[in-house]
Amino acid sequence: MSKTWSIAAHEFARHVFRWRFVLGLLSLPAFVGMMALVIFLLIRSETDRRPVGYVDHSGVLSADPPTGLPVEMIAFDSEGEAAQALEAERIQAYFLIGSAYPESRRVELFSLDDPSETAIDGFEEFLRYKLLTDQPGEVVRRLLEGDQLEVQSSDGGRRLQEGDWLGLFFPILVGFFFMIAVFATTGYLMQAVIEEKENRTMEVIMTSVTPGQFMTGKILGIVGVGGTQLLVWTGFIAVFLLLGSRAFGWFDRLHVSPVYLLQVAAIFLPAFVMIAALMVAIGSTVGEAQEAQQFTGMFTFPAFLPYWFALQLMSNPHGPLAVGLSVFPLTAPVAYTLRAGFAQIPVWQFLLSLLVISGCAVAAIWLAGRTFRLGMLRYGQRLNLREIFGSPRRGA
Amino acid sequence: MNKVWLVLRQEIVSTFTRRSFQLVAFGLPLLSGLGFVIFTLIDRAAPGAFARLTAPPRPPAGQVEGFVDPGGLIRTIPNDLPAGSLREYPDEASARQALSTGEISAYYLIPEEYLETGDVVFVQKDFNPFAILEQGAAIRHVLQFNLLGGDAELTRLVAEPYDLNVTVLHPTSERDEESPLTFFLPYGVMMVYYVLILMSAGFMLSSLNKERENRVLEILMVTVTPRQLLAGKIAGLGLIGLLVNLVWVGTAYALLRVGGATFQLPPAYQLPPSLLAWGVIYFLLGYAVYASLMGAAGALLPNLRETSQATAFIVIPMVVPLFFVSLLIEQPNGALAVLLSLIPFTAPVTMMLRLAIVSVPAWQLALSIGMLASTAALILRAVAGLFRAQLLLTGQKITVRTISRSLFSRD
Repeated sequence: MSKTWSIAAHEFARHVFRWRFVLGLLSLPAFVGMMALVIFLLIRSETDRRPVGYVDHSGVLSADPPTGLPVEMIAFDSEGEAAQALEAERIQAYFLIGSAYPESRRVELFSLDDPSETAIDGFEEFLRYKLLTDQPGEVVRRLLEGDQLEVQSSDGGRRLQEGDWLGLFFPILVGFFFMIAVFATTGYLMQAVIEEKENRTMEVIMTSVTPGQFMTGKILGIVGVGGTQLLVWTGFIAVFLLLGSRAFGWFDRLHVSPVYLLQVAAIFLPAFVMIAALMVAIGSTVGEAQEAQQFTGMFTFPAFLPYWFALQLMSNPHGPLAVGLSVFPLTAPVAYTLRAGFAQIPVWQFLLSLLVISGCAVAAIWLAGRTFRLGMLRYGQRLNLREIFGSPRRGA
Repeated sequence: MNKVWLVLRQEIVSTFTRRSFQLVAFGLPLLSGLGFVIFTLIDRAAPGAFARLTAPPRPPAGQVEGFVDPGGLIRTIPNDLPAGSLREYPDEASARQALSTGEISAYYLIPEEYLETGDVVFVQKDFNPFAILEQGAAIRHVLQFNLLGGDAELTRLVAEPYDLNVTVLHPTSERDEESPLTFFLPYGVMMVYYVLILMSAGFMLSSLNKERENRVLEILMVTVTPRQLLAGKIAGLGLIGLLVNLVWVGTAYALLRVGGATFQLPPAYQLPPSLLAWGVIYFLLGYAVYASLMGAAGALLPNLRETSQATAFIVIPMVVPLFFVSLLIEQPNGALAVLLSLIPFTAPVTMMLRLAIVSVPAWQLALSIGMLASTAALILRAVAGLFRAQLLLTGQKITVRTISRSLFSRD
C-alpha cells in the first residue's frame, strides 16, 4: 500500500509543483475574466445615452419628464424642429404623439438607424409616469419599478430570483469546469503512461512495484491533481463572488443549494476515476501519443454531447432524453449537472446514476489493469480486443 | 523543384491513406448524410416523433393556482382571467397543503411589504427555474389591477402604453433585424473559414511533429533541404485543406437540396459570387501564415504535449474576431471591423465575415491583402530560416539564442 501512495504522491507532485500547472490553473480564470470584461465593455459601448426628443400634440406629456430616466428627454414644439435635431445628430431619435393618441394609442418613432433599447425604454417609462399622475406615490413607484419574482421548490431548499442570471447558468458552468479539469488532467495521465513506456522507465519501475500498485497510484495521483485544480477554481469563483457582492452588491440574489452541490460531487468523483482509468487503458493499448489523442475523442465527444441538447435537458428535465443521458456513464456527469440544476431529481434516479457510474468506474479500473499488464512491456505493437478480453494465455 | 514536388506528392498520398483523415474528410459528411436520411425517414414515418421526445411537457389546461395575500392587497380578480383560475388561501400552511394534495399546481406568496420591496414568491412542487421566464404574467396583472383601484382601462394602458410604429430614415442594411439569417449567414461563413484554416494548419503541425518524433525527419534531411521540405508540405497540405472544404460545403449544399428544403435565400441574403474568389485568396494567405507558424511549432518542439500548448498561443489571434462576432455583424463597416480586417492575423476570418454582409471599400481590400501577403511572406521566410538541419535534429536543445541566431544569420 505504501508503494501505491508513493506513486500517487510522485504523480501528484510532478504535475502540481510545476510552473506549467500553475499557468494552466490561472489561465482558465484569466480567460473567463477577460471574456467577462469584453462582454461588459461591449454592452457598455452598445448602450446609446444620447438624448431623445418628443413632439406631443395630444397633451399627455404636458409636464416635465421625471428624474432618473435612462436617457434625457427633450420636448420639441414641431416635427420640423425635431427632424432637424435628428439630422444634426443632436438627438438619437424622436417620438411623435398625435392628437388622436388617447383613442388610437399610436405613437411614431423616427430614428436614423435602428432605435436603441434605451430610447424606447426611457420613453415608455416617461409615458407610464404621466399616465399614473393621479396615483399615490408608492403605487407609482411600484408600478414603474415592477416586481421581483422568486421561484421556490415546495420544501424551500431550491430557489432562484428573477434577474439572477448566474444562478440560471450555474449548472452549465459547473459541468464545464469539471469536464475541463478532468480532460486536462487525465490527458496528462495518458501521456505519462505512454512517455514512461517510450523511454523505458516502465521497465525499471516494474522491478519494484506490481502493475496493480503502479496503476492505482497513478490514478489516485491524477484524481488528486484534478481535485486540486477544481478546488483552486472554486476558490477563485468564491473570492470573485464575495468581492462582487461586498464591493458592488452583485450576486446578492444568488442562491446555490448545498444538496445540489453534494449530489453533483457524488456523481463527479466516480466519473473522474472512470475517465482516468479509461485513459490509462488507452495509453497502454496504443503505442503512440498521437494515436492516443485520436482515441480520446471517443470519450470527449460523448462527455460534451449533453451540451448539444442543453436546451432540451433544461426545459424538459424529466423527459426520456434527459433521464437516459444522465444514466449513461459517459454522458452522465454533464447531463446530470444540467438536469439537476433545473428540476428535483427523484432519489431512485440519483441512486441509479450513481450506481451505474460507480460500476463502470470499477469495470474501467479492471480494464485498465488488464490492458496495462498486457501492454506495459510491448513496443510497436498494439493490443487487440481478443487479447484484452480473452482468457490469459500461459506465459502472457 | 523536383524534390518539392516529391514531398508534396508524398504528403498528399500519406494523408489520404490515413484512416483518421478519411474519417474526418469523408466519414463526417457521410455520417451527417446518413443521420439526415434516418431523420427524414423517421420523420416521414412518424411525424413529430422527435419533437415529442425533446419538447417540454405542456401544463394541462385549466390549471388552478393559489395565492396567499396577508396584506390584503388583492381585493378583486379582474374579469379577463378565467373564472376560478386563481384561488385565495388564508395562510401559507393551507396553500402548501393544497399544493401537496394536488388541488393547485403552484401558489404565489405576496408578502405584506410588497409595496416597498416588490417581492413575489412563486412556489411549485418541482423546482423549475424556467418558471421565472414563463410565470408571473397573471399575478402581475392581478396586482396591477388592484393597485390601480380596479380600473381595467388604466391597467391596460399602463401595461401597454402605446402602439409603436418605427420609421428608420437611413438604414445601414436592408436585412431584417429579426431574421435569424442576418446573424447566422455571416457567422456560418466565418466559422467555415475558421475551421478550414485551422484544420489545414493543424495537418501541418501533426505531420511535422510525427516525423520528428519517430526520427524520420533526420533521414529526410539527408536528401531534401529543409526549405524544400517546408515548401512541399505547405503546398500539399493546403491542397488537401481546400479539398476537404469542398467536400464539406458540397455535402451541406447537396443535403439542403435533396432534403427538399428549397434553398432560396431572399435577395438581401444572396452571397455575391465574388465571395468565392476572395475566399480562395484569403484562404491561401491565411493558411500560409498559420501553417508556417504551426510548422515551426511542430518542427521545433519536442513532443505533442508541448506543441499543443504552443498552438494554443498561435491560435489566439484567430479567436479574437469570434469574441466580437455579434458587434462585427451589427456594424460590418464599423471601426472595429475595419481594424480587425486590416490586422493580418485576424484579417482572413474578419474580412470574409464582412464580405458576406456588405460591400467592402476597394482600398480596404487592397490594403488588407497587401498587408496579409507581406506578413505571409515574412513569416514564411522566418520559418524557412528556422528550418535548418541542426535545429530539426532530435535532442537539439532549443533556446531563444539558437532560434534568433538562425533567424538573423545569413545562409
